[in-house]
Amino acid sequence: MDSHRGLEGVREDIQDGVTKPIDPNPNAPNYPIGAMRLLVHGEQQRRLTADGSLLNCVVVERNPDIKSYDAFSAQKDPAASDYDAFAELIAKIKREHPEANMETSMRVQVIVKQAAHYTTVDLELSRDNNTCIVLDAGADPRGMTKLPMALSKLTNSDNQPLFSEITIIRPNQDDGRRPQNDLHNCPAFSMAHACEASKIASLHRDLVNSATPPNGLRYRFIDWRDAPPSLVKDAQSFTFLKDYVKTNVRAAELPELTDGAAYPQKVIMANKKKGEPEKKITVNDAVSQTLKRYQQQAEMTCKLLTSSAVMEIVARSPEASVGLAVSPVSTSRMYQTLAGGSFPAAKDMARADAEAPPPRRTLQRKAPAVPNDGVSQQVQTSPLSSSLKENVAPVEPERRALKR
Amino acid sequence: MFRKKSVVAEPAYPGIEFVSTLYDPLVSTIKETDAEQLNSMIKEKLRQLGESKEVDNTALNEAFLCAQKMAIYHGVPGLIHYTNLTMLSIDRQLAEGEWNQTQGFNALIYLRLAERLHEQNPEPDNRLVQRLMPDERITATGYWDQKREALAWKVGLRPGEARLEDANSAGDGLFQDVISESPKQAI
Repeated sequence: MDSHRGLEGVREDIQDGVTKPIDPNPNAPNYPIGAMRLLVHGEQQRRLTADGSLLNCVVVERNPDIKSYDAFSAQKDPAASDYDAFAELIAKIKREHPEANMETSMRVQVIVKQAAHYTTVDLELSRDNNTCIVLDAGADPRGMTKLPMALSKLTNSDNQPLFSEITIIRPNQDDGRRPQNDLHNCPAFSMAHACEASKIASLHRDLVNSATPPNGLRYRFIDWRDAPPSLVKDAQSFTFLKDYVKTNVRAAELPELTDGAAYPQKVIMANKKKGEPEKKITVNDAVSQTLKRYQQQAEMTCKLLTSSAVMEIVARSPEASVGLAVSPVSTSRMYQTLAGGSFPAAKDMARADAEAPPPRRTLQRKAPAVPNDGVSQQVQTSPLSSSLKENVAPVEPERRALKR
Repeated sequence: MFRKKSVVAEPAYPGIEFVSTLYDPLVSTIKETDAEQLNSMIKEKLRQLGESKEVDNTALNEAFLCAQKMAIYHGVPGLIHYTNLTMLSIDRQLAEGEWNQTQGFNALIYLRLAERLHEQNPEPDNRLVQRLMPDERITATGYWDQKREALAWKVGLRPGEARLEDANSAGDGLFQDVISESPKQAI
């Protein structure tokens, strides 16, 4: 019998992704998608336990096997890179998920990994109208260009665009500032954006109202400075935050935004030219603390699962993560115990949720199924193959059926 | 003063319109599409910026819009201007105590896109391209490597580092999108 618990059996880089700060070294490996799935899972479990609200968030890697430029160039075959896991996921949700085609809308947050980069796309799907918002804290062209491009190409059964408009949150028009300034925290921003966006029921309506009219390409743009406060509170630039407080009346909704002393600070060394002395720069380090809270939740959640259950979450296909019925999970007791107790992450998050508007169950309809310990142990009665070490988790029977 | 007549251009590549970071609605406020005229406008904005004693980004932003317009309608020279303006913008922000590494990283991606577009079509007769990248006369790749290294330094990256390769790879991906037009995907 497998006596491993929690993260013990998973790959080391995934363990690090759940337990350590993101490595700023430019040669560090990419933040693993498996770790991101565990962060999302931790938050899903926390919400379920805290107030029964649901987080319909999926994590997808877009074209991990996309052909290299050289291969593409040699073959002169653009179709070689046509398969798009991200577009396929959205098409599948819309095509197969009944709640994406009802009168009332369904919200889904998709965290997309493209090579080293993470972006969040928030979808609101219904029978009559489908809208999407692209949130890329660093304004990386992979998020700002490739994802809208994929979204714009999706069509419905009448060969009409699936998304009549695509809203993109862009750097501030007059100074280019955006929430993420460094080169390594995009996973943290993506996770935070998915979670915070899901709490704002009127996000799509609000942003469309304040965005520019769509251009000829159906894109609407809105500055980060006009975004809701919970989406910018972790911005790394103090100038950005000061400007936000000055220009956005909604800044008052978040006390930490108006009380500069509350920001955690970090000093980094900038060096703009070979041979020139480095310069000290002070940045807001709130995003590291936000990530740490999600990591603590994920770690605590994992501790109550067997390692094979954890590995199943790590390797979960995004299609399987959407729209499955909620299954009982073994973590609820932990959070009940911790409510008001000694687990700072749960406490902070619970307070934040209490201050947020009430959960919108009509929008966040379903949470993904999670294998509880019982299920995992059944799986473990079969011999563990070496492939498990590669994070290829056994698939539950009902999930196999769904995949077909 | 004699002013050359503008030549109305078409977008340079089938997929360039999707480079939405460049295709901001404000870009359409720039009506000019002629490459030489846009180049003059950028130079004028930079002159204004140099003369200004204020920390005012207006001229720089207008120069960015012209560069974006040029990138959409003429490809390589607009992307080179965009890269140069980004380097200037990073320096200005650094002087104010900010280090906008992501802005520089994104420009590294566009620089790679420019390199690939230029590799595909070197435009030997394009005098604007030749003026903008004089180092190319020395070696075939000298310009791109030197420019990449200078920009990478500004965002804390060094040649050969994985993140720099990541930017190159993202630029290659954009290139594929820009030169090809894949079909719509029905659901």
